[in-house]
Amino acid sequence: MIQVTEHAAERAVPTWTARIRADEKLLEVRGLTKRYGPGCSSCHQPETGEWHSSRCPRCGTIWACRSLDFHLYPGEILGVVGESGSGKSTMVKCLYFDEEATSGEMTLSVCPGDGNLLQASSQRKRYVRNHLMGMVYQNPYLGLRMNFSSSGNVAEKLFAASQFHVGRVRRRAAELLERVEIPLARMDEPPARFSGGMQQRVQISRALANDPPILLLDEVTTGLDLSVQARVLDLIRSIRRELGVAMIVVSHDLGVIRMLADRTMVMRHGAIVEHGLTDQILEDPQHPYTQLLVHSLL
Amino acid sequence: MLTVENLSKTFELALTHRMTVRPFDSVSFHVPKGHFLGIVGPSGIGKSSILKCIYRTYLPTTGNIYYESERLGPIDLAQADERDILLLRQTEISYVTQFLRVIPRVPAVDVVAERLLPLGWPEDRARGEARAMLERLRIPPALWDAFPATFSGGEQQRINLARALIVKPRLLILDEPTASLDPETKEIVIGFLRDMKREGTTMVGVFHDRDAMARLADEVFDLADWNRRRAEAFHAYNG
Ligand SMILES: Nc1ncnc2c1ncn2[C@@H]1O[C@H](COP(=O)(O)OP(=O)(O)OP(=O)(O)O)[C@@H](O)[C@H]1O
Ligand SMILES: [Mg+2]
Ligand SMILES: [Zn+2]
Repeated sequence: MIQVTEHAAERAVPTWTARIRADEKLLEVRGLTKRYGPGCSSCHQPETGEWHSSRCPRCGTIWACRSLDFHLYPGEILGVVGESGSGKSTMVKCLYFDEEATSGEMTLSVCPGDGNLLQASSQRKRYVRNHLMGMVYQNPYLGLRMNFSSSGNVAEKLFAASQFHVGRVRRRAAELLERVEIPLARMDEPPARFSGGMQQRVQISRALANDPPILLLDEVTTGLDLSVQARVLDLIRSIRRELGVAMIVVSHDLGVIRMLADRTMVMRHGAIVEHGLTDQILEDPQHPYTQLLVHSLL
Repeated sequence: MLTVENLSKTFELALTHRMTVRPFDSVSFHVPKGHFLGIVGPSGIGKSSILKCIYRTYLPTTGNIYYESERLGPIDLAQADERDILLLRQTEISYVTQFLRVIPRVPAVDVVAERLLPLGWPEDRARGEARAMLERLRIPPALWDAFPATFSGGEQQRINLARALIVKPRLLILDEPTASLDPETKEIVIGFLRDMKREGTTMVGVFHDRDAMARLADEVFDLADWNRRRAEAFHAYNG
């Protein structure tokens, strides 16, 4: 059995965990826009009007995200739904700086001095990625080094946050992997040898390594067997309950959104068509597209 | 405590063809603190829709729903920020329907106890409180650690009640909360609700059961009668 108590005490409990209601928005995004292509005079104001696709019919530019405004409070779960190609993944990738946003603003209340993080230096962006946000990708190949050991995958994140004490890093990695129910006996096996559900759980433990206040989850249960999906969803719920991490949960599965999200926004053709309390979105959808989406679930 | 003014709801549906549904129009009523207002009317007239507007599962189309919140002061639930609604649902406003919709794979005792965790209760004390609540609602101890998804209708309904009551809400919204209970359990629930009223909980709700309604309601709002009186006034005014 590995001794973790000493280590747990070493880590300061982040102040955002215990609050029922922090009045400050943790994350605020304004006008987030991502364009693939040059744009032209007929699509220079992509935020206006309902489009029939994200593609400008004249120049062929794809406006994957069109002027998105939203926010996230500490500890809450924001669901994002929408059909394939609606821009959900592009949105979270821009937040995590995997993709460079074309324009827009993103601020985090925990680093007020930085202003618009989309314009920050690469050093500040790295700090945000390593300390303030964790990301879990639909495709575990994007989030993990498949042939490294699983503990090494977690350790890499800890090293990135300047934790270099090898014994401590190893204990913390064990603690994190145990938290996501990876048997300790298997912590040094590479994720390549694990099932899809286990790989997602290793990704989650890696994303949580440095206790970030925000977790971004892109279709984490898509493509998994139902019973495996259920375990991953239960894990996400318990992490939220125990750690109070705020999350953006992207899914095209309204069942997942219903189970996890406090608030939900609906995306289509790169724009947010509707947002609201999750039960309201499901029971009283306002936009015809959301009505269709909800209706096809029933 | 709760004042509803000119509340209307219109659904604009655009599925196969455009369709407008207006379950109720320009409804007003007031519920004093510690009172129970019962809403009556024939099936399909819009009673549940009114309750869902108060809880904000439905977005009110027009009108106001003033509520005296302990934490937030006077607030219009029809307009309130989503964040404030979520806070009130966590701390002050509970809603019970006859249908259970809980998270799968969570044992009954935790389904109930988890309502106390955001309020800062430690897990073991929350579980203790949840067990006491389940006991009070006569859920057999053998079921406490089982998953409610497999429970009978009446058992599920009591889990719903337990979840709503355990936080000692200031405002309780009830939609047929005793519909599938046997007479004995129904007695327990009615007794429970009367105790809560005495302790100051304000309630608004629908009971098909006339006897339950008679024993709980301080005031009755008759939706069919309200519609009729409005129509008459309208005709009188317009000659
Ligand atoms: N690197 C890229 N180059 C060009 N177009 C791209 C690129 N990445 C994404 N797109 C386009 O941007 C749009 C949004 O894609 P995105 O992956 O964000 O959608 P999504 O909502 O996550 O869809 P899904 O539900 O299928 O995951 C799509 O039209 C997609 O083809
Ligand atoms: Mg995607
Ligand atoms: Zn164009």
